[in-house]
Amino acid sequence: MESFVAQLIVGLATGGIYALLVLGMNLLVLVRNIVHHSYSHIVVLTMAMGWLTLTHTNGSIPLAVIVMLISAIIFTIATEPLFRPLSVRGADLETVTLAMGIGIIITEFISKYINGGANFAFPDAMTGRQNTISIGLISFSMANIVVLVGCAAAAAILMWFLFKSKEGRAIRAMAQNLRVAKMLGIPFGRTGVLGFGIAGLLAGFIAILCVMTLGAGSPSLGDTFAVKAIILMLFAGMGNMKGGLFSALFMGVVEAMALAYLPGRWTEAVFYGVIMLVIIWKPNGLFGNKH
Amino acid sequence: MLSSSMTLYLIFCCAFIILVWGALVPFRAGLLYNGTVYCMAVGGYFAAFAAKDLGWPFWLCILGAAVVGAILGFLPALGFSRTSGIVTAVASMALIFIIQSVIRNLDFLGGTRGIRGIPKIEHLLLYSVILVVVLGAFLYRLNHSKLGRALEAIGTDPDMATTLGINVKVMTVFSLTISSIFGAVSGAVYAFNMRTIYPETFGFSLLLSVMTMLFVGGRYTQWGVFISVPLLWGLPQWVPASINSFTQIIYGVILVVILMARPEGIITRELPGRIQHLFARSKEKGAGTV
Repeated sequence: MESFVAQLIVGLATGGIYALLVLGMNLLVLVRNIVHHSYSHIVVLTMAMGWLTLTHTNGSIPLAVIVMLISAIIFTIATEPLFRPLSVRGADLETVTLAMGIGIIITEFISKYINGGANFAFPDAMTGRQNTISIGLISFSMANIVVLVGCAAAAAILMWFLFKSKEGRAIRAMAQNLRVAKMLGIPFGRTGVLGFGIAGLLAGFIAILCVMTLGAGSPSLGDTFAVKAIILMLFAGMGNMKGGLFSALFMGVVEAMALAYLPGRWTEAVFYGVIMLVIIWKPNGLFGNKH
Repeated sequence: MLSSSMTLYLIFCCAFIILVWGALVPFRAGLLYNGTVYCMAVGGYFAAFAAKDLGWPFWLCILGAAVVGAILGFLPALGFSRTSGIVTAVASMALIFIIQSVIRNLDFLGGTRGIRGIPKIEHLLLYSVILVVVLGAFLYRLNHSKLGRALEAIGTDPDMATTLGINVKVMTVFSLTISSIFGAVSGAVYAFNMRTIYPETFGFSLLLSVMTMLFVGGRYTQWGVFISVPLLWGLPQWVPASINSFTQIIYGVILVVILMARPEGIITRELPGRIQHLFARSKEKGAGTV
């Protein structure tokens, strides 16, 4: 029972990170109607930037956090001009391939220049691993709780922004009907850059949370995250923020439980098989793709 | 006589030309189908198993791989007839992870160690060129037949295609099955050329290189692969050794630049027609002066 609760918390924390990834990608679906497959790669690249800052400036953590946030925003906005001509033309499949190309470049860059392709581990002062809480027999890392609270706060702020603020409503209007939105005076370029900027800020935040839970990054982490995030996004329905949140949390818990209690041999095949069947059964996702 | 590394390279080119053609068939119907790589794994493993453990001759292995690939490609294709666009692309990506995981867990296929010591085939280059010619002629006939035009119509506008009396679901299943056969044959050629086969080969990076070859060469005609496959596959051999380790980055940059600057790829839809036109005109001129 005690290990079950601990696994549940680990699963919820992993699910929270997946949820933020899916939220960021869904935001970009709304902004430009693109599937930004390399969003997860940008998160890992941000982690690498943080690691570089820590190694070169004798470990000042606030500076690393600031560098991570700023570099994530810059990287994400830098991809916007690449996607713009394709998203204006409405070429879905080309945008996915373009994003995959960006993903290759980032992954190879990290494996060439960051720690010689090995895993880059962060110091304990930043991960907060050594702080564990014990309630009775249950003990879990403080980092997981921080991640859970951080995810909830980020999701709430993003929801508030999208549904209540003026700019958020402009983004949703553009997603629903681009031509009418342009006619009503919503600037196409500026709103897009704003959306990418917010997605970038979110990417920086996700990178910090990843540092806290995982404690280390690796070049292949981007591919792993990207495949999971894109599958979860389709599982819940493209552009559906709330559906994405729930399915990501659910998937994180299922994954943690499977790792802990199932024999490892066939888990992956069953996992992807179930996902594929659900996607085929409901092509618009479990919760539909409403905006 | 060709050196052995050159022969190896040319056979790989043949295998990848067939593979990219396999990805091209569903693309005409507007589907980005990643299951071609899944069928490549199926075909490769079938050929390796049949040749090594059952002692089948080469052509029987190719034929068997095509049949098994067609059957195993047909079953998921039934499901994919319901989906379209990006949903098909991602759901068929899951197929690749499934087949990798299944192969890893089957002991008679060697598990993670793979199959080693596949028998050597004499004149494999000649055989693979024959396969490329035969499948290329088949693809050319398909593209210029009623079925090919029906696929083109579905790719342009599925609703319009339905009003023209085209059964979109049947045509989707048909195109995905054809694509699976191409993938399986290319997998068999690949297995005979490598002579060892691992589940890790058929992963995400292979998928990315197939996508690069398809998009760089031009995905509206079957001729683009003849430029993109030798170019991209031969890149590590031709560039100087100092930038050899950057090939993956170069692939990525080429893909991004091509998509930005020349969205239809090197060989665009109009180019073959224009070249034909050029030749026809010069012939007319020649006839006029004589």
